[in-house]
Amino acid sequence: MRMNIDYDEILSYLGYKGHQADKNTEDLISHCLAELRTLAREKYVYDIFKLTSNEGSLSLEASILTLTGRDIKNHLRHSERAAVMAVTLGLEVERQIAYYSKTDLTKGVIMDACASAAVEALCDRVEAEIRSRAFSQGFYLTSRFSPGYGDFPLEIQAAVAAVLDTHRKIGLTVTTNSLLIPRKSVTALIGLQRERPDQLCSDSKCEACFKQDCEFRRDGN
Amino acid sequence: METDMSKIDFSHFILFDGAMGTMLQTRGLQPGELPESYNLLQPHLIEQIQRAYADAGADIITTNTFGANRFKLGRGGYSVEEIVAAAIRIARRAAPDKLVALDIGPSGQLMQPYGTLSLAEAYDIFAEQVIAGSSAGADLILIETMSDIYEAKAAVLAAKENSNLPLLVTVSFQADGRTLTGTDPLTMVNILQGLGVDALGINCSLGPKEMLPVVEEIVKYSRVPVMAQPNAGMPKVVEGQTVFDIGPEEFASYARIMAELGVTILGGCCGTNPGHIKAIRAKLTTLKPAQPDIEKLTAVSSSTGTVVLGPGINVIGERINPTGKKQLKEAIERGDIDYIVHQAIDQRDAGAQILDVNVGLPAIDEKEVMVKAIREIQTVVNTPLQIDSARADVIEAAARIYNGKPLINSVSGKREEMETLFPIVKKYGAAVIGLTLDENGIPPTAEGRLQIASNIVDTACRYGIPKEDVIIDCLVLTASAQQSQVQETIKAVTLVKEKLGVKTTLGVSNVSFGLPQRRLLNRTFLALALQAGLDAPIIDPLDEDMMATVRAFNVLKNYDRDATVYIAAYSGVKESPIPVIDQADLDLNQIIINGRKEKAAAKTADLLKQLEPLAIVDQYLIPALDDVGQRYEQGEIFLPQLIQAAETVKSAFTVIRQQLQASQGTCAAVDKGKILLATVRGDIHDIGKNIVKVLLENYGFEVVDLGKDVPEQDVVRQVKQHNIRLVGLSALMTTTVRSMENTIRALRAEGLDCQVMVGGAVLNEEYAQLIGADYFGRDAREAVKIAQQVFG
Repeated sequence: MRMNIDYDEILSYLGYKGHQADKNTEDLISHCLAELRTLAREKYVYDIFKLTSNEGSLSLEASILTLTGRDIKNHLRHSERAAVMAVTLGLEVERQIAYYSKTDLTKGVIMDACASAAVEALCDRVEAEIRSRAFSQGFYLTSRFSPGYGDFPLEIQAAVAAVLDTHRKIGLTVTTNSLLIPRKSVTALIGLQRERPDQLCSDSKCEACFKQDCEFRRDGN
Repeated sequence: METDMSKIDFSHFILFDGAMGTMLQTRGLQPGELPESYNLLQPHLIEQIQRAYADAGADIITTNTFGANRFKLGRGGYSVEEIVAAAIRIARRAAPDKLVALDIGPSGQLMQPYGTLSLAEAYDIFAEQVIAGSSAGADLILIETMSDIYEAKAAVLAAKENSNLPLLVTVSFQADGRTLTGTDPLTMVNILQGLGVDALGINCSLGPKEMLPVVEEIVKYSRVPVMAQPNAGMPKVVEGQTVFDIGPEEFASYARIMAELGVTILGGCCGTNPGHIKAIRAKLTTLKPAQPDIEKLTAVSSSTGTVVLGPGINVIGERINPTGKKQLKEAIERGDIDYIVHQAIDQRDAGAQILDVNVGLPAIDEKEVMVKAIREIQTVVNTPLQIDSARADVIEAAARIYNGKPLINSVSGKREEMETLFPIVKKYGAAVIGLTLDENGIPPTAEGRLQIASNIVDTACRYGIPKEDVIIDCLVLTASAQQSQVQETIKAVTLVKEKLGVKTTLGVSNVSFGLPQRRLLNRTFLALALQAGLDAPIIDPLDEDMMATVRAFNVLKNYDRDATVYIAAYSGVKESPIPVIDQADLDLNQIIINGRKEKAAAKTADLLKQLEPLAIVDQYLIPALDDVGQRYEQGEIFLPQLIQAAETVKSAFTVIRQQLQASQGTCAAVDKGKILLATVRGDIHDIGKNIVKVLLENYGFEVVDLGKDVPEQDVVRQVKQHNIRLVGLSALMTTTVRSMENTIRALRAEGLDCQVMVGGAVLNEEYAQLIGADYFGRDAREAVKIAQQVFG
C-alpha cells in the first residue's frame, strides 16, 4: 500500500525538530513503516453539507451538527459548504503499538509516531479527493479543522461520528470522554468556498491552537 | 436460562424483514438523528414500513431498536424502556400475526483494552435492553451488526442470563473476510456456537455477492442454523448520495445461492426494501433447506484466531504456572503482571499455539490475579489461552472475561468435579481437558483409563458439550517411580483416540521427574507419545529439544507440508529486522549510551564477577544515564535514543536486582522509593506514562504501574495499600484532565499524605496547579528530578 507518509513528520513527532536521525533510529523507522503498511486497514468516510447560519450559530443543513466556538466559525467564514470527514488506521495498528509498548518501548514510540504520520497522510489523500470533487463544482477548500483545535470543542466528536455513522462504516467510535478509538483516527471539517483561501490561513491549524508550547507546533518555517 | 423454542421452528426457512435505517433516511431521517426516537415521534412511519415488510412475506419483524441503548439514547434524553416498549407495540400493530424480534445493535463504544468499555459495563447496557424487550413481549432476540466478538459475547451473556427467548446473532464482516476488530468467520462460529446461540450469521457491510465467501466459511463449521442479511450491494456515492444498487431480483438470486449453501434464515440489511423481501419469499417457495456437511473441529480461539487441533501437532506452552518456578512465583506474589505477559510472548515466539495460564498460589487472591493476567495476556498475544486452576470460581471468572473460546484445564472423572465444571464449560462455550482419574485414583491399565475417558465424554455430552470439545489427558507418571506405567500411558493415548475419536493431550515433562538428564527422557517420551497419537503436548516451548522433536515429527508425518515450518526454523537464514554493526567489546557505559540493550545483561553479569552490585550502579549506570540525559537536553540525541538507553539500563538493573535478591535477600540497597503511575480514567494514551516509568526505574525507583483508564478509587486504594508518597498521573486530552482533577481531589479527600505530579500534552505549570497537582512534569527527565526531590 502506498501511504505517502511524510518522513520529516515522523521525525518531528519523535522530537527531532529538523535534525537528522541516527542510523539505528532510521533503521527502526523503516522497519516500523514496513510493518505499518501491512497492519494498517485504512478507512475513511466523508460527506458534504450546506452551511446555514442562524442567529450566530453555524449548522450543517439537514444534520444534527451545530458548530460552536469562535475559531471554527472564523475558519468557515467564507464557506458555503463544509465537508465532514473521518479516517482511521484500524485496530491492528493499536494492537501492535500496545505490543511494542510492552516488549520494546523504543519501537512502541517509533511505531506510534509512524502511525500518527500515516493517519495525517490518509487525511491528505481524503482531502485531495474532496478537493477534486469540490473543484469540479467551483469550490476551493479551506484547510482541515478538527475538534479540539482552538476553542472548537472536543465534545463535538460524538455528533460528528453520529452524522457520518462512523461506527458502522469505518469502525470508529467515540468514548464518553470524546476520545476517538481506534486512537489513530482523525475527524475534521473542511470549508468549501468560492474564493481562493489566502495562503496565511491555509496552514493555520497550528497558529489557531492555544497550546503555545506544543512539541509539534510548526514554527512557520 | 432454558430457551423457549415453542414459537419458532428452525427446521424451515425463516424470512426476516429488510432495512429500517435506510428506509427512514429516504423518508427524511437526518444524518446523526436517532432513528429510535421515531418510535415516539413518528410511530406511524415505522408501522407503515413494518407492515410493508409483513405484506411482502417476512415471517419476523425486527423492532426499530438498533441503537436503543443508554449511550445512544442518552443524547436525546429518552429511556431504554420507553423506546423499546413503544417499538414492540408498533411492530405488533404492524404485523399482529408475525413474530417480533427485539433488535439489539452494538453499543457504539469500543471494548477494553483498546476502548474503555468493560465487559461488565457492556453486559449491563445489553441486559437493560433485553429486560425491556422481554418484558414488553418480544418473541425472540436478534443481536446484529456486531463487529467486535467480545462485545457480541457480552450481549449474548446478557440475553441468555436475562431472558429465555430464542437468540440469533449476526456479525458484520469486511471485504477482507474479517470483522473490523479482526475476527475471521471460523473464530466467530467457534466462539458464538459455544456460547449457545440458537442461530448465527452475517449481516450488513457487504452486498450479497461479497458476502458469499464468508457465508461459505460459516456454513462449513456452524452446528446451529445460519442467517444472512446482506446489504443491497456495496454502497456507492452518486451525486453526493449514498445508494445501494442491487435490485430485488438480483438480490433474491443470491439469497437462493445462500440457501443452497445451507443458509436457512434470510433477510436484508442497508438499502433493502419490501421488494427485496418479496423476491426472496418467491424464491424460497421452490426450495428446501439444505443439509450441509459440517466440519466438527476441536478448536480453541482468541478473538482474532483459531487453533484447530489435529492432524498436525499443536504445542501448549506450560510456563505460566508457578509450581517449581521461583521467579514466576515472586512475580505473581508482587502482582507483576508484566512478567507473566512476557512469559506469554516468549512462548508464543518460540512456537506455542495455546498458552496455559495458572497463577494458583496460597498467598494471593487467585481469582483477581487470574482475571488480570488473562486480560493483559489477551491484549498482547492472540494465542488462545488455557485456563488452569483447581478452583471452579477462578475458572468461571476467567472464562467469563476471556475474549474467545478458552480451553479449561481440567476436569477429572470424579462425579462431583464434572457436576461443578461442566455447567461452566457449557455456559462459556469452552473446550475442556479431561483427566483419566476418578474417585479411585489413576487406573494402572490403559483400558481403565479409557473407561474413565469414555465416562467423561459421555457425561460432557449430557451437559450438551460435544465430544469435539473434550480433550483427554491420559496422565504421565514418572519413569523413576512407576517405570512400567510409562507404556500404559502411551497405550492409553492410542486407545482413547481410536475408541472415542477425541483429541489428546499430555503433560510430558512429568515423565523424567527424579532422573538425571531430564530433557533426554522428555524428548524421547514425546516422540513416542506423538507416534501413539498425542495431539497437543503440554511442554516448555523454550526447550529447544522439545520443539525440535515436534517440528521433526510434523515433517515425518507429512503434516508440515513441504517441510515449510521446519525449513524456516533450521535453514540457517535467521531474519534480522534491524541490522546492527557489531562493535568490539564495548564497556557497559558505551553499551548504555549506544542503547545496545541486547548486550547489557551479559555485560552486567560479567562485571558482577569483579564488582559489587552497588558499585556497578554508581560507577556505570548512573553516570551513563546522566550523560545520556544531558545529551538529550542539549539536543544531541533524541527521544528514541533516550528510551533505548533507558531500556538498556533496565536490563542491566534486572541482573543487578537478581544478584542482590540472591545474595542479600532484598534489593533495599538500590531502592529509592515507591511511585505509583496511572493514566487517568477515560484516557487510553499510555506511551508517555510508559516512558516515565522506565526512566524512574532506571534511577532506582520502584514503580507501581496501574496502567491506563484507571478509576479514581483504584488510585486511592493502591496508594493506601502500597503506602505511596508520590503519585504520577497522565492525561493527554482536555476532556480527561477532568478525571485527573477528580483523582487528585479523591486523594486529598482521603487525607492521604502523598504528593502528585502530573504530565500530558495539554498540561502546563499553571494548569497543573489549577487542578491541585503538586508538580508538573514536562517530560520523563523532569519526572525523575521531581521524584529525586520528593525522596531526596
